[in-house]
Amino acid sequence: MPKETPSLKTLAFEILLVLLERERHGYSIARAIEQRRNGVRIEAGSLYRTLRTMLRDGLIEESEQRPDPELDDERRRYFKVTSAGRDAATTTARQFGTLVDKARKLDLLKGEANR
Amino acid sequence: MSRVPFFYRLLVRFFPSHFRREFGRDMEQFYADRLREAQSGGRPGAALSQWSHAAFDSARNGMSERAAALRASPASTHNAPRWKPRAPSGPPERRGGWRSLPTHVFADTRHSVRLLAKKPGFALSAIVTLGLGIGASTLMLSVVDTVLLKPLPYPDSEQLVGVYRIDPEVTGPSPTVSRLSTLFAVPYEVFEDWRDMSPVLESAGAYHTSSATLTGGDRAERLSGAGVTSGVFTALDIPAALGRRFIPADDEVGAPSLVVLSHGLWQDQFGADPGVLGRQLSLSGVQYTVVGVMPQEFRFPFARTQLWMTFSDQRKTSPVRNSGYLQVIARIRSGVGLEQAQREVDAVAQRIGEVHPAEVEHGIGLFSYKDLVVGSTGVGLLILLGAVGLVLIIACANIANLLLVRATERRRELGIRQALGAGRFRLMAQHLNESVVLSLAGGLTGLIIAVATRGPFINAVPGGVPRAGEIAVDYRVFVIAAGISVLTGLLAGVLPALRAGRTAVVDVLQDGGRGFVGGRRRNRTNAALVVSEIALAFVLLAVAGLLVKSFSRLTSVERGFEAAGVLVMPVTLPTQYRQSPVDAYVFFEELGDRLAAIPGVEEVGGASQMPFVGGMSFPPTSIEASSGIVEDIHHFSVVTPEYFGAMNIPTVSGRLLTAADRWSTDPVIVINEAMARKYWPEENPLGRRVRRDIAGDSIWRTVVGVVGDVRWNMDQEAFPDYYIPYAQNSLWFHTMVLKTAIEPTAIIPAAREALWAINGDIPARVWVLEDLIDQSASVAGPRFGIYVLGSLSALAAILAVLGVYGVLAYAVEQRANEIGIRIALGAGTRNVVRAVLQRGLIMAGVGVGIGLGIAVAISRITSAMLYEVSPTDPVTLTIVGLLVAGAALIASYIPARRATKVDPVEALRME
Repeated sequence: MPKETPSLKTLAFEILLVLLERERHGYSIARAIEQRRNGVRIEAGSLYRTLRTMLRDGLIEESEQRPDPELDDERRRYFKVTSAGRDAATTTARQFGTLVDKARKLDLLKGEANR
Repeated sequence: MSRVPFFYRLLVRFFPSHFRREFGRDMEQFYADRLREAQSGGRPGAALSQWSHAAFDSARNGMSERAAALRASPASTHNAPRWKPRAPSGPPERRGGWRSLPTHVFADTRHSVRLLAKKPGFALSAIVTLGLGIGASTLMLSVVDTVLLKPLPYPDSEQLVGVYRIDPEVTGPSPTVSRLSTLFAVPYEVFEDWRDMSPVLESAGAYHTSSATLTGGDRAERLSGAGVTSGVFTALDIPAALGRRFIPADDEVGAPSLVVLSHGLWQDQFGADPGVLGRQLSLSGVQYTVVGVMPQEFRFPFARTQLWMTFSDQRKTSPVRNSGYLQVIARIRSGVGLEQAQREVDAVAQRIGEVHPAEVEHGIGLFSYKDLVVGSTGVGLLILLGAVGLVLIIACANIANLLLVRATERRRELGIRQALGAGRFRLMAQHLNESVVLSLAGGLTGLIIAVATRGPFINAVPGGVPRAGEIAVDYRVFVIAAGISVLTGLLAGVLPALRAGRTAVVDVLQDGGRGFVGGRRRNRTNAALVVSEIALAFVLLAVAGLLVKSFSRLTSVERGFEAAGVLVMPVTLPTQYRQSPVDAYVFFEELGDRLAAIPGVEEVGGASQMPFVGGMSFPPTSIEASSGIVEDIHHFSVVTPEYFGAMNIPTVSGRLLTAADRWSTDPVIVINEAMARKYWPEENPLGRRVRRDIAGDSIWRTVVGVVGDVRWNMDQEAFPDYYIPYAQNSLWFHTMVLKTAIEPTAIIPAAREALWAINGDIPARVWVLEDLIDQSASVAGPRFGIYVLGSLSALAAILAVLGVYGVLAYAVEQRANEIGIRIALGAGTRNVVRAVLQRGLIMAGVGVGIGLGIAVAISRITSAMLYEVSPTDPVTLTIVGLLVAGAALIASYIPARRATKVDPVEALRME
C-alpha cells in the first residue's frame, strides 16, 4: 500500500473517475458527474479551478484539441488521467472504502442497497 | 465565440488574468454548451436560472482564485510541480491600467476590512453614525419619492385634473394649488354645464365626501364615503374588481340609488362574499343597491373612503348656482396639455358668463390632480428631507474627521508604500475604498433602520401622508439606500484620500514614523470640518428652538372659549326625523334633557357647527352694514341658548339668545366682535339686520347681542360669525356640548346610553373637546414638526460635539511634546487648559457665526412654519448659540484636562 496521502477533494476524485472511463472535455466532465449524482450542478468556475489544480499537481494532462461530435465542430480541450492521477484515485478509493466500511459497521447505511 | 452572450464573457472576468489566459476560452465554451442545453429543454426561465447559477459560481470562485493568487507568494510556490509565472502578488502596487481595476478593488476591500477589523470600536461607531444618517435620509427620500415623484396609480395619470371655480377678484391672475382656499367647489348644475360644454374634458365627474350610517347590523356604523357621478370612475379609469362601476345612466334623475364598495369594506363588513352584489344596504335611512367592488388600490378621494354612492335626485335637481359643495375631477383629452386645455375652458367660462350674467366674473381653473393630492404636505416633506440631509452631511463630516485622524496615523505605511512604487491614485483609491466599505456597512444598517421606522413614521404624521397606502418597501428603497451609501462614502473619504495622495515620502521616512506629525494644514482641515458640523447643527437647533417657541405661542393663544371639561357629541339624525323641523327639534330637546340629567353634567348646549368638531358653511348673505347692504358669503352656526354658557363665551354687549326666542317670536341673531368690527366699525350693531340668501330662508334677522370672538383654528384669527337660535332654525344635525364638573371621560358611557335610549340606530360619537384641539392640524402638525426636528437636531448636536472633542483630543495628543516642553519651561496648568479651551471656543464661535448666517439666509423657509415668531428671533438664536458654545466648551474640557497630565520627561524622551 502506498504511503498514506491525504485523499483528494470529492470533486477532483469524481473528475478522475469520469476521466478514467474516457477522455473528456470540460463540459462533458460536468455533464457526466451531474448525470451520476442526481441534482448536483457543476458550474464552470469550480470545475476549471479544480482542473487547474489537478493539472498543476500532475493528476491529469491535456490530450489533444478536437471537436466533440455530439456538440458542434468547435475545437475543445480534452483531458486524460496521468499515472499519478490513477494512483491518487486508487488511494482515495481505498480510503473511502475504509471509511464506508466503518460507516456500515455503525449501521449508518442500514436498509440501503449494497453499492 | 460570438454565440457566447456578453454576460458570460463578463462572468469570466471575475477570474484573475492568468486564469483567464489558461481557461477563459474553455469556460466560455462551457457556458455556451450549458445554455444551448438549457434552451433546448424549452423550459421557460431555464436560461435565467442558468445565468444566476453561473453568476454566483463565477463570483465565488473568481474571487477565491484572486485571493489565492494574492496569498501565494513566490517563495511558497516554488515546490508546486508546474509553476508558471503568475501575476505579481501582494498589494498590487504597480500594475496600472483599468484592466487591473477589479483586482485592485478586491485587494483594497480586503485590506480595508482587515484594517477596520483591527479597530472595532472605530468601525462600529462610524457604522452606527452613518447608519443613522443614511437610514433617516433613505426613509425621507423614499417617502418623498413616492409622494412627490411617482405618478399617481391611475392610467395616464398626468391627464387628470381637478376643476374649480375661480374668482379672479380673490385669487388674482394666477391661482395656485398652494392656495386651495381660493378654489371654489360648485353646485351640480354648474358641473353639468362644464361637463357638457367642454369637449377637452374627456370625462368629468363630480364628487363630495359624505359619511353614511350603515344600519341593519348589530350596531349602527358610521362609514366614510363619497357621492360620485359616473364620470369619476371613467376619469380615473380603474376597472371594478367585482361587478361594475357607475355608468352615465346612473346619473339620470330618477335612477335608482346605487353603491360601490371599497375592497376593505367588502372584506371587513361582508367577509369578501361575491354574493354581495345586488344586496340592499340601508345607508343613513336610504336603501342603496350594491353593484360593484373596487380593487384595493383604488383610493379616492381619500385612503379612508369606504364606499361610493350615486347622487340623490335632490342634489341633482337643486337649482342653486351660487354656492357649491362639489369637487370636479376630469381627464383631459389625450395629447392635449394643461395649458391648451385651460385656454379651452376659459372660453367655456366666457360662454357661461353670457348666459348667466351673475357669473361673468367667475373663471374655471384646471389644476394637476397630483398637485392637489399632494397639497401642502410636499413642502413639509421637503423641509424634513432638508433637515435629514443636514444630519447626513454632519455624519459625513464626522466620519471624514475620524478617517483623517487615521490617515495621519497611517502616514508611515503610506510613505513606505509610495516609496515602493505605489502611485498616488492607488493610495487615494485605497482610502476611498475604506470609507466606501464603511458607508456600505452603514448603509445596510441604515436600510434596516429605514424599513423598520417607515410604518411608525407615516402613522405618526398628523393628518396622514397623502398616498401613504402607495408607500411600499420596493426596489426603489434599496436603490436609494445604496446610492446614498456610496455617495456618503465618497464624500467622507475624499478629503482623507486627497491627503493620502499628498504624502511626501521623504518627510515620513526621515521622521521615522513617530513624533511630530502634525502640520498646520492638517489641523486646519479637521477644524474646518468641525466648524461646518457646528454651523449645520446650529441651524437645525435654531429651527427646532424657533418651532418650540412658536408652539408655545400657538397653544397659549386666547381661543375665546373654555375647553376644559367639555365633551362634544355630534349627532346626525336618520331620515325618519328629517320630514319636519319639529321632529328634529323634539329629538334634540329630549336628548338635551337626558344628557343634562347625567350626574356631573353642569350644562348642555348644542351647535350646528362648532370649532374643532368640523363642518362649516358659508351661504351667501346680505348684511345691513353701515355702508349699506353688503352681499357676501358668510359663516354662521345654529345654537341653543345654553351653548354660550357651556363654552364660556362672554357677552360683549346686548343680550344672549334665550329660551324666549321661539319659532313664533321675531327672528334674532347674536354676532361676534369680528363681525361687529367689519360691518359696523363706528356704530352700535344692535338692531341691524342680516339675511341668509338661501332657498326657503330669505328672512331678515335682527342683531340683539354681541359676543366674544372664537377661534376655529389655533393659527387663524377669528373671522366674522353669527349665531341663529336653534328654536328658530332646527336642523337634523347638531353637536351636543356638555360642560362637566368632573373628569369628562367618566361621563362618556352615560352620554352614549342617553342617545341610544332614544334611538339605538344612531352612531354615538363622544369626544373630549381638548383632545380634538390637541389633534387638530393647527396643533398636531407643529408638534410633530418639533418632535422630528428636535430629535434630528439633537442628533446633529451630539455629532458636532463629538467632532469638537475628537479634533481637540487628537490635537492634544499630537502636540504632547510641545505641551510637555511648555510645562517643563514653567507653563501652569491654567495656561495649558486655556490654550485648549480657546481652540474649542474659536471653532464653536466660527461655527455659530456661519450657522447664524445660514439661519438668516433660510429665514423665508422657516417663517412658513412659525406662528407669530420671527425666523431670526434674537432671544432664541442667542440661547441656541450659547447652548452650542457651552457644549463645545464641555467637549473641549476633557482633552484640556488631559493636556495638563502630559509628563514633560516622557514628552521629551519621545523626541
